[in-house]
Amino acid sequence: MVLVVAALAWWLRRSAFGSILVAARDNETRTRAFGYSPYLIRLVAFVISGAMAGAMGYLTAAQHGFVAPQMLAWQNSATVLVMVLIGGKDTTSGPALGAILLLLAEEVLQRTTEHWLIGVGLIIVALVITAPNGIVPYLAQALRSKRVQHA
Amino acid sequence: MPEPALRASNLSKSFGGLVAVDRVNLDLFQAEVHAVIGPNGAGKTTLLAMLAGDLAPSSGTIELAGHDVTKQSVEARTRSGIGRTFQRSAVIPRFAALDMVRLAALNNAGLALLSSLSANKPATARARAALGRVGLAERESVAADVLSHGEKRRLEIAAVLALEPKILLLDEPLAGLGADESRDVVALIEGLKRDCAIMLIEHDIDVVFALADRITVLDNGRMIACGAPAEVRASEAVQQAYLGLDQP
Repeated sequence: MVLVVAALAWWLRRSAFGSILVAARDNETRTRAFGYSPYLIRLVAFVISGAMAGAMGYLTAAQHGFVAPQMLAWQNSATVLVMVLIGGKDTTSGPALGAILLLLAEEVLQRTTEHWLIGVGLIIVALVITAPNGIVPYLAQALRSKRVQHA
Repeated sequence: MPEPALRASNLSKSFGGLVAVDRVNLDLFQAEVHAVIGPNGAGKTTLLAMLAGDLAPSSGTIELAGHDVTKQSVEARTRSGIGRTFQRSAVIPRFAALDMVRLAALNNAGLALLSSLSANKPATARARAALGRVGLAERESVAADVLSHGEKRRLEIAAVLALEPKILLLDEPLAGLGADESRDVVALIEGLKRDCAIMLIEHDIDVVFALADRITVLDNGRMIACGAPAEVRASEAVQQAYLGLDQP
């Protein structure tokens, strides 16, 4: 399922539709003057991401056999947002990496200490300070400067 | 007289107490360059923004080939054939020049939006042709925000050409261009006249009088003269309000 979603995201980003999404974000006036409606384009993107989240929700419910009311709490939305932010919001791979890192950190810290939430918080703060645009853009930048040094 | 491609009737726009455009009538005809001149703050850009759909007029109507488009959005007007450039270059950062023009060329392609920009051969051909016309063919893979100021201005024009507009609204296309670049753009505008109706806002008076078939003069939002260049040059009101400023 992750692969399907990743493939879909990658394909959307490469498509002309993805280009329009980026253009509408970076220069909305210009994009409108090209005849595209940012509202419509964003609505489609919203529907696609909503559908993805819905599919995941179904799989979660099917796996656990029940849905607790806490799962609808706003903290869950915030967690997803944090995943995207620490991974890199302008990238396709960033959110996936962010999700893996955050869940991994939670898992490891939960086993070592009772106060694991403090640990997670510190990690997020540290990441926001060192890589404010997210990990993937940070790594890409580091790679580029390394290559420049070699050249 | 043929039907105008674009007609503005009694167009007004006020911002609070300030009347930026005051009951202006304007007709754009096919194969004509219609220049709009006037001192700074005369309402030229406001007028263009209303024609393009960026600003809703306070009163008055705008007709495109006889159809009322006053309430239409920018994107709907673009699809009906209005193309515009911006006073300040409005390129899309990090897009290669070719990709930005392709985005314009792809306009309204429906399902083609699902494949990548580069996969669309007709759009690519149109985009390359447009870049060639403005002399940017060799810069197609350069990121739009890295181009020089003059190149950005020409990229803007290329992107608008790729839309294949029937009406072209040019907001100071020569602003900040060097002499050589200006000459190229003037020649380009002259060539474009065959295919569309052009409204030109420009401060370079020599260019305006050389290029325009008709000139409308705005002052404080009001139209103080409209006619052939020779008539406008002779008009006393214009001399007082504007042209006279050049020869104190």
